[in-house]
Amino acid sequence: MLGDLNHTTCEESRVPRAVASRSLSGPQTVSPPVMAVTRRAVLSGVVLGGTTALGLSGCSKKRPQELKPHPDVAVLLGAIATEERLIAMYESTRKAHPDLARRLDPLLAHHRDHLTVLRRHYVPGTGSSTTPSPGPTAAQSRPAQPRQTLTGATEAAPGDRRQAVAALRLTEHQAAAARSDEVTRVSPGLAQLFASIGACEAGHAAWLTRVS
Amino acid sequence: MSVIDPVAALQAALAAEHAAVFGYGVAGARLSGAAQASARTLWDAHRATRDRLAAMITARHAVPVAAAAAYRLPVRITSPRTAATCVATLEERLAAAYLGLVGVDDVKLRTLGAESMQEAITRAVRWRNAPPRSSFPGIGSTGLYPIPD
Repeated sequence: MLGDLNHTTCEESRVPRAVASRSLSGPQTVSPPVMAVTRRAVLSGVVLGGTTALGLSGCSKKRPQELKPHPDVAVLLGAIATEERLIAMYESTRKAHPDLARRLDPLLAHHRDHLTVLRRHYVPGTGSSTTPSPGPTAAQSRPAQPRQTLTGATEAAPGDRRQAVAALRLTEHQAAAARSDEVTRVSPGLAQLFASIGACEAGHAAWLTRVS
Repeated sequence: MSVIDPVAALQAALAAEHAAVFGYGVAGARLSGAAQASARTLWDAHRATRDRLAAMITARHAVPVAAAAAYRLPVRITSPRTAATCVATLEERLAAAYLGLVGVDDVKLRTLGAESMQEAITRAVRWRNAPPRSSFPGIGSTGLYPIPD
């Protein structure tokens, strides 16, 4: 059972790489030449390989400017922005309190890993954090900004050690809550990545209660 | 649309909860004081979660997986320290077991999965008295794509 799920997870995790691709390859855009083919066959890719489907979709009447980024893109950009702010915050705290560095560095390394993987799921040019990406429905097209304002992210770390750690803990807690919220709004593979990052951030918040 | 069957994902989570209930029972006997009290509280919490998951599976007209008579624990318990490490590892395995729920179409189940993963890793951190062991709890390195350096 677990083995099967892990396998599924592995496959699912491959999904998000495509999130930034425009909605050209959907079955609904398949044009008249393949109308005789059953929908099931098209969906299962038996008749059309992914590349062929993309090629054929070029016959679609849609003009490029009508195409919209996948709603995942906005959420992904928000998560990337959060990780960047967290990294900046850890770096400034580390600088202000060198004695905390040893205990903060593993957490900072986790965030750098998160940022690396999130960035690899994003194809530049498919949306920008300054222009909210319009999605198919209002509910899905949230702005790319993180939902909560992350406190003190770009400012200098508090001079007081306890306050500096408390600020990090609060930000980690908010980030974990945001990831948990986002799992309902993205594709399954990306949802699993977000859930894992959120779990790591919740763990950071717990660990930071013991750092002072 | 997701390829993960919600019942299969619930069953995986339930199976891991069964193992956690067993592990907390064994570990609790090796702990004392506040640690033992924590283990007792969490043992109750995992039993309650186990029952909730079983009810959710029954409501979907499936038979909940049964607990095994005994489980091979991830860490041999010989001391309070190894008992803590054992339950921490069981919590980390729970996070992995809940990952499947996050990939189903039902958004309530996704939220349940994500929140359960956060709770599991929080408990693991407290038992280990150390930061999360991985940047991506619940996801094996082979499950990450694109693969980080």
